[in-house]
Amino acid sequence: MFNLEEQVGEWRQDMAAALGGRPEVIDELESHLRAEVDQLVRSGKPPEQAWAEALNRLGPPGRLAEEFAKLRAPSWVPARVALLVSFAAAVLLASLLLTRLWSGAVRPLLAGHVFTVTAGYAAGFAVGALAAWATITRLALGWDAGREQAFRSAARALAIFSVAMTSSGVILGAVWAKQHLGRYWSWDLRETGGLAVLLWGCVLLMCVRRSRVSVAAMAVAVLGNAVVGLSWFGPPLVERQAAYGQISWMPGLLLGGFVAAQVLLACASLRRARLSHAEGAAEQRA
Amino acid sequence: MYNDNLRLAKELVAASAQPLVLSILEQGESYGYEIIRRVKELSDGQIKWTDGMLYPVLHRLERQGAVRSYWRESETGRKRKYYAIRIQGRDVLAEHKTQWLAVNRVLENLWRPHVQS
Repeated sequence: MFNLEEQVGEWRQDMAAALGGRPEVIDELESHLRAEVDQLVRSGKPPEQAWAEALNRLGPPGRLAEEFAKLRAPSWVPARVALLVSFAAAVLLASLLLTRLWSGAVRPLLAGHVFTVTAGYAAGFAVGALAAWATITRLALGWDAGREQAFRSAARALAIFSVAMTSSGVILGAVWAKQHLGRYWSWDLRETGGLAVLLWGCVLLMCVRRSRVSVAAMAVAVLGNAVVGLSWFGPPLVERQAAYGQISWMPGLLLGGFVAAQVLLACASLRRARLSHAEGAAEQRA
Repeated sequence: MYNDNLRLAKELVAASAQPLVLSILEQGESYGYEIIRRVKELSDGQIKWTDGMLYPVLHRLERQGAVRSYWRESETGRKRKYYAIRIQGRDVLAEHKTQWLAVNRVLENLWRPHVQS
């Protein structure tokens, strides 16, 4: 006696084995199968024949699994490099600080603050560098959905890490400041810089959500280089000026040039995206 | 107008899958079974997909951000996965239209003397 539920159950097991799990995909395909069986039964076919036909039209589990396997996330080498370099830098920094901690050269609170802020800033630079490379690639070589997806994944991961690390660093810095300077926050350059990097990271996360990378996301990511650069290297330059009364022009010039280059690159990424939209619209009207 | 014996090349069916799906979704949200039914209806049965092959296309479009999906109860009471086009999907569809119309224009210009003869 034909039992549809039994057949569906067996089919689900076969699909799960072929797909390696993925119950939501199986649920969707089951919904399709049942709709097909209903339609065929309504057209006068016996349930057993309807089931066999519906299965045949859907395709064998192995074939379906092959097609779904092609959906795995595309890779883009610069994205992998950015993630790898960030990870390696974090591990190296942690090792150095642990050595200094062990030798007593630095206290845990300060070590924690230095690690989290440095790791957060470095991740900010990594996503900014990746976005800068992506902008140059788009301008020079063209862009595609695969690279965009790889960029989006890497940028989200690095932005989340940067926000988590920088916020931890800001909090640890405030605690350290209270213990050693008698106050949690005084809006000095380093504290303000940390807050700026944190805010930038939050804005970037809003732009690089699950959807396609927006026009703003690439520009915001590139500007991260400027924000992190100014937050990281700006305060020491200003402090030297205040301490010694004379600032060497070269570091300031380099920093200023770097920031200006990032702003120009961010503008270029916006302009290219707008040109693409305008060209597409003009062609459609033609 | 249509030849009952016409079989479209596999590559052509594959290449047209995304623009077909996006064009159908542009007209309104839909679900997999209904999309396949509409493609068969619009092509007078000439475009035949293995039904299961539509779903990787839909998932790829969703991953690219061109469509979004959600589960809803159908009229039979069972849960069914619907798809709706997003703004980014309309951009992708516009790009497909530009390319297909460009190819169509060239082929029309090339074939017109042959068609007339």
